Amino acid sequence: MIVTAHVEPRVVIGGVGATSGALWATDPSATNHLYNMDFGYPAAVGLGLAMARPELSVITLEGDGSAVAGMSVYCTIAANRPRNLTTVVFDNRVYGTGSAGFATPTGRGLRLEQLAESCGIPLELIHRVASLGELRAALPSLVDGGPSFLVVDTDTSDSRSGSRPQADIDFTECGIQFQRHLRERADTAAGSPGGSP
Amino acid sequence: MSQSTFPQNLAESLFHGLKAAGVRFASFLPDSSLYQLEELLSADHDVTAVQCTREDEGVAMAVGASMGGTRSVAVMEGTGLGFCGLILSRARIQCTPLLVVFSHPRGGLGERLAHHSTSMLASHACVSGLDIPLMIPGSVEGAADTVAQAVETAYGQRCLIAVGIPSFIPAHRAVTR
Repeated sequence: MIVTAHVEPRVVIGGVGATSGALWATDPSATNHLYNMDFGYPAAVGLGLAMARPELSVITLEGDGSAVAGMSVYCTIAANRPRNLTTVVFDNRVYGTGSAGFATPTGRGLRLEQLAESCGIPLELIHRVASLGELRAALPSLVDGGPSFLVVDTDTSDSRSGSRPQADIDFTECGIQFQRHLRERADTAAGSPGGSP
Repeated sequence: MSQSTFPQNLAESLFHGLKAAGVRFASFLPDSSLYQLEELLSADHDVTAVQCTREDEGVAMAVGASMGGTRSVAVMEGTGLGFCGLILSRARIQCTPLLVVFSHPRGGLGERLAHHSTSMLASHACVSGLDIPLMIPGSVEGAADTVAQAVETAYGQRCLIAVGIPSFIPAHRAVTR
């Protein structure tokens, strides 16, 4: 994925459904990525990880429905300003479940970038892109001191839950590998052998 | 008859227990029972203390920090546990250790205020439904050991543990003769 490939060292937390399916399909990693974080929580989990591990670049990916469900965290992100956190929301304006026939709040007029600004995230750290060219142009500013907030305007081609890629790893396996990988990275940086926190 | 010296002594006991066990990340939603503990955590430069906007968000942040290898605690009034079923389920399934400290647990003493009823029922539903071990300190002085050993157990067993703080805790451990 263009965003996740642009920053190192990075970990990615993907939300449920299409975002984790696309993440797995393009860049499967059972160590750097946490897949299918539950609805409404990717940004909050990413915030806690970013604050606990300031040396990592933490990227969260989720759909607009999940983002709005957990939107209170944008106030907390704004209050704490972790420089190493990038929040990415794929906005297709529908809930990607079943027939994809139900509009999300953004499908009814909510503007996520205005929501983020209202919560206190600085306007210069908020971006909305609708093409690959715009995304590539926004990347340098995304990674140069966050917390960055990126809204990616997408279509609904992968919104039907039965016909899109899925991450081929379960919560337990993924969680254990992801956590072990983070511990090992910390131990390597500290020059010490692995162990429990 | 022993009397509770709650709240400041209890807050200090809990705080020292958390620090002694290596807790270095705390999320909290300010509440009237545990605010002294939240203030102690916020004032300590060794602890990253983050005020959340809703309790499940706070648990999610603590889950993230714990996954990153930092011993973490989520602090809240018991009502907040009612929001936390999904994220606590995820933490349990993916074996992320975590301590939750909350006020007004079912099974505690001194709960004379009717508006704590939802706190007691919601928190009970969450901890019992998810089979989260619940500890209630037996004394103010023992609260430090309770939270410290709860942290050690959570991180040793890679599980969730809850410590409930009721409105009444004896000032001293009872002496059996």
